[in-house]
Amino acid sequence: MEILDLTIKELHEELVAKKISARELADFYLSRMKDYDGDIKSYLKVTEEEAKEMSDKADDTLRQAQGDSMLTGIPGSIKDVIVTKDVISTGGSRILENYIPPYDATVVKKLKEQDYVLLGKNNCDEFAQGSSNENSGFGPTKNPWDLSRVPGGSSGGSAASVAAGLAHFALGTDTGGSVRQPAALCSVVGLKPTYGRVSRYGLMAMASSLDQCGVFARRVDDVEQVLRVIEGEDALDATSSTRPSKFKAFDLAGSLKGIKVGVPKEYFTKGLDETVEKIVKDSISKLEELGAQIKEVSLPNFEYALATYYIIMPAEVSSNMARYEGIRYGKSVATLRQAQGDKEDVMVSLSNHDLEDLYKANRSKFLGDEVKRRIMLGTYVLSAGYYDEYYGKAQKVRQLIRQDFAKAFADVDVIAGPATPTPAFKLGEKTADPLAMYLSDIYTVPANLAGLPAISVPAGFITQRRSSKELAEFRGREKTLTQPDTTLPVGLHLIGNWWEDYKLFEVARLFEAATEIYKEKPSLNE
Amino acid sequence: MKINKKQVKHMAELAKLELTEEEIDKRAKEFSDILSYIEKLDEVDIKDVKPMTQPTHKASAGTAGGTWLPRQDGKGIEPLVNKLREDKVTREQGEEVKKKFVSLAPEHSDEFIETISPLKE
Repeated sequence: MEILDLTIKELHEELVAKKISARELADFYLSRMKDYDGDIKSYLKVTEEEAKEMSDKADDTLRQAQGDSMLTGIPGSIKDVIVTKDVISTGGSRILENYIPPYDATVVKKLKEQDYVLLGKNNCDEFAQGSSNENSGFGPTKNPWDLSRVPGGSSGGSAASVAAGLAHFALGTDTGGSVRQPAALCSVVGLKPTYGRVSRYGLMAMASSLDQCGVFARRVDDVEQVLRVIEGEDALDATSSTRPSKFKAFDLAGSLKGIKVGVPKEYFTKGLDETVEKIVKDSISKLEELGAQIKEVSLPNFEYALATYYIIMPAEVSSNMARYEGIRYGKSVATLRQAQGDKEDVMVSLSNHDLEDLYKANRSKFLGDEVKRRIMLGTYVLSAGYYDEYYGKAQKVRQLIRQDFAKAFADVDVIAGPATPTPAFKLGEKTADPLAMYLSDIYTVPANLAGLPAISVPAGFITQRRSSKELAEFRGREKTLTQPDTTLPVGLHLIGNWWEDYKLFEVARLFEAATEIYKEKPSLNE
Repeated sequence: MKINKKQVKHMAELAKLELTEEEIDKRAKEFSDILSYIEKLDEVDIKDVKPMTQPTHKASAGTAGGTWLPRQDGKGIEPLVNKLREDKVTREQGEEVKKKFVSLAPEHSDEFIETISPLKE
């Protein structure tokens, strides 16, 4: 039995039949994490003790024959911006370096009710802000397929942990593509549900009108199993939908006959890597072979989506980040000074300052560059005299983008295209140019603006010959770096109509069965 | 849009951030680049378009679609609306959780979070 090749359903059957115990399964993953995560750094915290306790509890549940929940004993990892009770949750930020939440996010609570097993907290860009994981306050995650490249972001640690077989599934968050972009760059499945389907309670808020909790797994079916558990209305998130959470199953009976796939003519323009374009076009032909009808559609305002996003998102970031002032929780310069003297002195010396001085000192010292950049940009677009020029205008273009989708979905069932304009780029390649970094989200951002469900599915690989300079540089280093060729994953991005997340699964599942790209695994170094 | 150093300093002040001279120079260039890219939106005709304030609101759903919900009685669809409840304690968290919350503060006593007084003498 090769655990990594089993779906959650198949693993569940093994667990119920007592062919493997939840504890053995947890140990299998914990031992892989010890062997392989040193180079990849997909985890900020490995929760070995919790994993052992939780898997023993899962085994008890299974022994009492109550294991009818698919996720009982299934090991997963959680992005660090999602809070876990009594387990350190930094959100990838130095300002929360010592933060131990006294509560669980709703999604975590729901997983616990099924007796899932927590393996650890995934590395990510600070407060989910970034497209490469290089903005983590604790050092970047690396792409398991090529350690000189980024895994994508901001949920790069979650994507990498699943791609490298260091978790069976992972939860991430997606505000502008932070689940789907790293899923594509790491060759795993990544879903962003319809806005409102999954509770945001306990997700460290980044941009509240765009944020949604998402799921990573190696197989489409596994993503669906996890979504079934975490979805549904929550009194603690007023934007969670009152729609009954019972999913609508779409049984396509092995064929895409009757399914219309829209391909926006605006997608294939300059900026899209030719090799990515070829794989995506081949994938669309594959959907046609499977019985789908391919139709050209138009999203006239597609080219304005990223500019719209880079007004709305920082505006919401600037207000959400106001909470990090180092007074109610997190790191404070006051504590640093206290370490050097006695407490009375500290409070007296602080009292010579304004409260604002303390805010500024804490925020400036403990927040990272990208977070500061977005706070300032957001503050600017919302400031007196500029509101209408930027924020007001962006809200109107956002409306047009939503209407474009509504029109397109009157004609088609899903919209297909690339998940990213290029394969995984090199560490450091885009850090000096924020705008170039932002452009890597160009295909994923529109679904967040409109609130639509979208999924990235492994679609193929690009093989690139390494330059002699690179080979010289990597000589004697890790296995993935010394091969003459590098293999880089490409994702197919499917957007669904509002609330049709389960239709996306059906289409993606048939594509996955026909291509079987999940069988390819990165070769890792011990 | 060109952003100068003075504007960057103003933005930092509003955002309660302190920047070094070097950071100010860097940000001025970055913000100029980003805002120039954003000016793309000037090309869009937004006359008579209602702003979309959040992704579940009826008014912003447009005519052709939106985040609609099926009605419980099966007759058509209805939008997600404001969810309000009575201003009542629904979950007692207890002393232990309260202690945990207070102890998260960098400066605190048994029961209170401590900081500099916002009131000036």
